[in-house]
Amino acid sequence: MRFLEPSFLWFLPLALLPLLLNFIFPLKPFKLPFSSVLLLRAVRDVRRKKITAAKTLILLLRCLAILALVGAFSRPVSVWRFFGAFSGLTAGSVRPVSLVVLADRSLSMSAAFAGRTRLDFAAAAGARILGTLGARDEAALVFFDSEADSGGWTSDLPAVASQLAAAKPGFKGTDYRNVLEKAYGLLASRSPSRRKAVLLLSDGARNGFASMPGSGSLTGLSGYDPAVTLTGLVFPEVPNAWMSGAGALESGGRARLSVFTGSSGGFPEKEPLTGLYAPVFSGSLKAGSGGAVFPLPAGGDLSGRAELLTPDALALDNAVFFSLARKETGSRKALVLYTGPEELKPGGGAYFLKKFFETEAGAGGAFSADFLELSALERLPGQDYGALIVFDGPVPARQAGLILKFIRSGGGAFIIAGAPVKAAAERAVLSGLGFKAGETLEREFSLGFPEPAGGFSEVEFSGFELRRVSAARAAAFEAPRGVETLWNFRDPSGAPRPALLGGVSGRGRVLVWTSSLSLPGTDLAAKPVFAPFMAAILRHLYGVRPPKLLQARVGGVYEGALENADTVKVEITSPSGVKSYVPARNGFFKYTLTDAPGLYSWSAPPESGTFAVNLDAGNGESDLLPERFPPWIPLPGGAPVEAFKSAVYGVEIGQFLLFLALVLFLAEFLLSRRAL
Amino acid sequence: MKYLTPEAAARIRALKVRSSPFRSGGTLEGRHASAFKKGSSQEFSQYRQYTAGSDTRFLDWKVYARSDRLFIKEFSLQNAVSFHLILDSSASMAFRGPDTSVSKWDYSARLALYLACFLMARGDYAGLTVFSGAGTASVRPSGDPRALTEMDALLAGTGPSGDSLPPGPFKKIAAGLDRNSAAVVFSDFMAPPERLAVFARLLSSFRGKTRAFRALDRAELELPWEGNAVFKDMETGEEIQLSPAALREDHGREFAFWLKRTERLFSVSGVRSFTAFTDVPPFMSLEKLIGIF
Repeated sequence: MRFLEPSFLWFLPLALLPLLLNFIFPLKPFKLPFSSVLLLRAVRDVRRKKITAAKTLILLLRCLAILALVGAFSRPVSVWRFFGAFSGLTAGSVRPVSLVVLADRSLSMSAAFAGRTRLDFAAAAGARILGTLGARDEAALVFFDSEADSGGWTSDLPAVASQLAAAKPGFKGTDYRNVLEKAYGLLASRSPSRRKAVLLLSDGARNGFASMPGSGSLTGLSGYDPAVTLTGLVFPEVPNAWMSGAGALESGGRARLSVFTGSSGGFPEKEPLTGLYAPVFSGSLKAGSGGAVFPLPAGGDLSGRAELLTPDALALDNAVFFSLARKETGSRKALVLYTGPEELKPGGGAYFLKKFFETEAGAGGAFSADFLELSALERLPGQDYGALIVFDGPVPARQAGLILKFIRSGGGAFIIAGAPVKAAAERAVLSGLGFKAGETLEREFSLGFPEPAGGFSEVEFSGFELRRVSAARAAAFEAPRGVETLWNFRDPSGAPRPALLGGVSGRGRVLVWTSSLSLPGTDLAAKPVFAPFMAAILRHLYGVRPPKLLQARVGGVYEGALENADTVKVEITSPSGVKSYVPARNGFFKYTLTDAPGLYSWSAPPESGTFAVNLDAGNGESDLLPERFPPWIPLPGGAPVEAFKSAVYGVEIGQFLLFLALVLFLAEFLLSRRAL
Repeated sequence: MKYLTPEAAARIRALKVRSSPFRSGGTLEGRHASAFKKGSSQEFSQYRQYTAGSDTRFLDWKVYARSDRLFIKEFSLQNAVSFHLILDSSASMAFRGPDTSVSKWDYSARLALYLACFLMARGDYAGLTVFSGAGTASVRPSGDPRALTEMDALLAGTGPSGDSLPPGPFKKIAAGLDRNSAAVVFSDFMAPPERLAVFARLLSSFRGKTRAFRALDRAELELPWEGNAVFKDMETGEEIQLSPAALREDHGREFAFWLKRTERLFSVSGVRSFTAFTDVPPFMSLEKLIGIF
């Protein structure tokens, strides 16, 4: 507490006067002869305690009254808002004010409040507060969200107010630590003779305190100065729901889009309806049962947005954009060419393949197959077949020629080369593809995870114990150019041995399994991993890519891939239509101007594509619940100016103390008359 | 005289003429002596001028021989009542409040003398005794108005002192009262409860009629002083410091309770009592005192 007339405090010892007069200079009682003190004595004994208490209270009242009177004349100034109810006097300031205005333009400031956005409301309050400053006062304006701009001091307060009025909220999160430290840094450069204050035009979002030290206290901030008065606005709790993200999954050979929602502040239990808007659709889709999962029609890449249909306080987080990259082919039928009936018997490779396709058919999967003995292949497999599965071995030349022709014309082939052969010439298909047979190794191998460059997703096999897949035989090949190892066996010493080789031949794709599928050769086909293994093989052969979302976060970097590695420049169009160019190198490009959520399109002829930029739901910005006990003096929305003035300048409470002194004197008078 | 002026005496005698409760017997069961009835009592009462028709048997020839004037002897009846007026002359009776002009002693003395005058005027005997812890003094019961002078002198010469209601002296006083007499005690009865109880028992043991008059000063009830005071007991010398204003209310309640307690004590003892404050005009108190007989 400070005092405007501190010289009067020298009279404080006068408060001891009643005690002095009572104990050191007591009034002499007058003597009175009385007929009999019997009754007086009896009454006095009964009332002794009450009389003593009354006397003590009267002394206390006298001391307090003098204290209050001296205090009133000294004109104390309090920042306690309680006194605002008793005094409208804001103590005049002889010291000029240096005020740092921190304007929050994070996503949550877009929420609606009192008919406008929170930022508009805050800016208006800030402008009114700036209007109370005087000619000798100065201000520095700092805009912030998850980052803070730099600010500079100025005495042109109307200009600061104009800047505030023109501010628009963005899409980023909130970081109070960063901006508060910046504010303390700015104020540290001002003269100590100035009164220092910070005005936080923010909604006090809880997520903004995540980086604050310790228990959210200011004392841990760099440059913290206890002389700085920290004030901030107060916003009420508001429920909100938002789209927190999307995911792509494949089920039954079809891509599906799943979206995730979040809510806070007691948003209704019933999940808000979501709608899916995409170029190919003319209307909205309702969310599927069991969650917001949208089945997608067959086709290629797909982009659009999924949106919450229930209105709430913050609309900007009600949509998630997606750009789904996928490749699906119409034909998913394979032709299995087995060497002989033995293969169809239990334990044979063709037997296990038959089981796989039967299971696929039963599950409504996308893959199906016909089985044909190799020797019965008379003509080129038709367009119905997208891939061949061939048990390589002593293939007649005619059939070998047909297979090679199929591959080179664009079909895929999965060649199982693990059967023991007597002579390399018997591997007609592989020879025709340019493979040179080497030694067949017969030892115990185990299967590891696919090689990263192989194009097989390790995630697909993460639930399986691949190490328990063993092979007793692996053929060695010298692969032709364009073929590389996609998967390795591990021998007991840990040394890799190629298990799956793959490459391109002509227009077709080739995968070579160096072991067999029959039980003597390997137990792969008997393991649960066989089904996803075959699905991956077939997808690879068909050129089907698993669905993948192409997206980045607001403020993040999008890394795009190009098929043409020679492309040097990519044109990118933002959702607002603004075009920009970024360099490309080795088939990759990076884009950093992800300031707003939406669908961005890129073009590098002959290639083009889209990618989505979405809000970072993980930063908690959509949770509109404010911090319950923020570390600043709250300025109520109804009267922020008065609250600011009493916080920064304080309220003179001399009148209050004078009133208190009168009350105490009155109480003392009444009690004295009654009790003494 | 200090307490009984000629004007007061005349007024009292007129009071006697107006009110005649004793002619019909009153509370004394018809054994009261009437001033208009003279019988062949052995006790000479007074002389009266001879008028035609008076009984010549009672002519006093000796007075005629000496003065050549004829007087008739008058005698009182055999069973006349003697009233013993007993005044408490303890120190507490000297108390006088700031707003009163007379002390309790002066008030009681005046009232006692008034009563004595009244009783004599109707032909009764009245005697006076003052007693306290400091001693006892008395005037024998008499129907002679000249005894009033003696009483007045005794009262005027007595300064209240000593303890209230000492049992020893009062026992002697009570022993001296015969059954044909009545006693009226004038006091403030401000004594410790045990002494008061003994006194009440002594009063009840008296075979004649007993009445009690309590004189109080209003300041003893109201404690009209302000500020801090040291109250000094006029009999014991004990001092108590207190603020009258602080205790006024409680003291008032306690005082009223003490009055009732004392009245009940007397009532149980068969003594009718009457209380008056010293700011009440003495004649008003006299009429009320007469009324309780």
